[in-house]
Amino acid sequence: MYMMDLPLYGTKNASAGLPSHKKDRILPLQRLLLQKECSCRELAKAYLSAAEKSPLNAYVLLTAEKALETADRVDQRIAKGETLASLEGIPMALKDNLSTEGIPTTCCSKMLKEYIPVYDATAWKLLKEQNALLLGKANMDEFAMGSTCETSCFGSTLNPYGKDRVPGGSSGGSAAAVASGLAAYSLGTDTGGSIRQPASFCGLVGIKPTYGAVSRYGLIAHASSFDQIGPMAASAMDAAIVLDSIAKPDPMDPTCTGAPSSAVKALGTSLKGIRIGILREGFQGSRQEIRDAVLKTAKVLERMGAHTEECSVPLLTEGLQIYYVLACAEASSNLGRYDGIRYGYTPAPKEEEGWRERILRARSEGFGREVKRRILLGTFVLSAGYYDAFYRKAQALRRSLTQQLKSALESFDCLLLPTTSTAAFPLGMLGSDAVENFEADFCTVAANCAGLPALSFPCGITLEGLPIGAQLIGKAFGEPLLLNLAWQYEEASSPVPMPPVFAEKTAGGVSLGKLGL
Amino acid sequence: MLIPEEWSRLLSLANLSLSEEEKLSLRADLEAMVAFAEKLGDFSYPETEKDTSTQSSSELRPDILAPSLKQEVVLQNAPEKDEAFFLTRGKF
Repeated sequence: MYMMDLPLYGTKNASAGLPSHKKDRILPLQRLLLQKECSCRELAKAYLSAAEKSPLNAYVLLTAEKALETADRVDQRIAKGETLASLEGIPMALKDNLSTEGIPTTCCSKMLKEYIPVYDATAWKLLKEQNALLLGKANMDEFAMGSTCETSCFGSTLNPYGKDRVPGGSSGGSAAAVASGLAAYSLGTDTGGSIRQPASFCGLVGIKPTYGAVSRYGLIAHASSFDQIGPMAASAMDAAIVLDSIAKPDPMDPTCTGAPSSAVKALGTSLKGIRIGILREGFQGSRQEIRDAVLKTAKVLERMGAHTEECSVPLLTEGLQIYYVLACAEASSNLGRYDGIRYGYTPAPKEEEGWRERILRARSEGFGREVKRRILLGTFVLSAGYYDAFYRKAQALRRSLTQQLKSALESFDCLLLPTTSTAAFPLGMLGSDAVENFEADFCTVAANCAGLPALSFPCGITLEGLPIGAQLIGKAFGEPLLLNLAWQYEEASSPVPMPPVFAEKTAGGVSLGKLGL
Repeated sequence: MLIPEEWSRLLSLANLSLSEEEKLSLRADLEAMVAFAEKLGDFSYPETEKDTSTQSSSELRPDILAPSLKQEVVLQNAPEKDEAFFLTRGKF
């Protein structure tokens, strides 16, 4: 443990005086750079080399040349004694559905395998302006549709805690990269749990911000009224630093109108008087060791000064049906744009083929099975004769679920439940059963339906050595409290052990392991 | 159970042309997913309830002209193009 006493950057006031946590990476790496224990170029090379050698398939593309260019710019600024921005020179990964100008962005689909965006996603642009060190694009389920990272056209990512296990999804590559030390942090996206579930499976802190807190401009759309971009990090401090950098209003996304107050500044504040509702329905179907770990977490937070009490949101148990009807409807509409004419996969021409036949073939050959399933369900629930019974009803129930959650949050500051009902399951276990795939998202979809912030943080380990995640759902723009609770939990408990697959890196002759990475 | 005409209409609306093997398996998947979603029918809601979004109000951008992408940039990812247009098969 060391005390942050260096005049590092914009977050210095908030972080000064706070003890570091064992898994913090961003501040120790900046300290390393500023004290010139290694150059940013050396740091970039160490991470890139580890990523190249990794067996996990966390990255689908490494951007080595651009990373080294950025590193050189950072080194020049350090040499001139300039003040670094909060994430300047820190190695990171981006989920491959976030547009990066001049860098392929594939959504891990054959449909976009050759696609190179001509503009940056706002969330990435905000980091790029800080000279964030992009190492590469991270693997994911095709078009963010899946809970295992197995629907990627580049093959599955493996879980660093067990190579026979899934890393979760859809942001599985982003999670595995951070957990295995191949990136200091990453950005993922969360439509129905795609940040929190892989964060839980890989022992990370992952936060889905409030709908409208982070711009979706440049995020390749899955379900537009649910999608959010958020950080995946090894500690609450790291997640807070990243969130503070990307949560800004953006005129390019008309739904992005607000931003939470600084999360970093909230860390370390007292929990006295904080009321946490233990959400009864969220434990339904959870394995005993998951329930025990989450309830033990509540006890730890109580010891830190919070008050906990059981509460109920009855419609939570119908969250999956509501979510899948609406998300698939939006996905079928959003994915209607892929016709193979303006961009995307185009099949080899056939002489007799007309305009429409060619579009149908582009879509049928370009999309994978899970995407086709969801397009079909979405088209079905929007079609004449079924619209009222499915889509309209799900919209009405979404409003009721939102009201129930908001009502519970009038009595409590946040709600506690498991992130997932099991730890990471074996590769291939969900197989081809469509409904079984949906059920993996039971604990996470409600927050997306209501547009509320939700955070997963590691709270234990199973007998098999796999991480367990606890989830907090907060009030709109209540991210600082959620991150403070995760930070306080880290302060009071032993961290989840590092995974067996962890990159042994060195930078400038200094073992990063010495910094607790 | 979807009748054959409904299934064909659905594929047409979804702009998908599937192989016979895919048709069999995806139709079974769809029926399982629809059965799963039918649980929504167990719940009542006020008939006056309107569709909802997660935000209480939408904010619209001012209707003003702003710089856009240049034509050659927009065409960069086109599989087939000439100097100024996307190329595709004739519709008629």
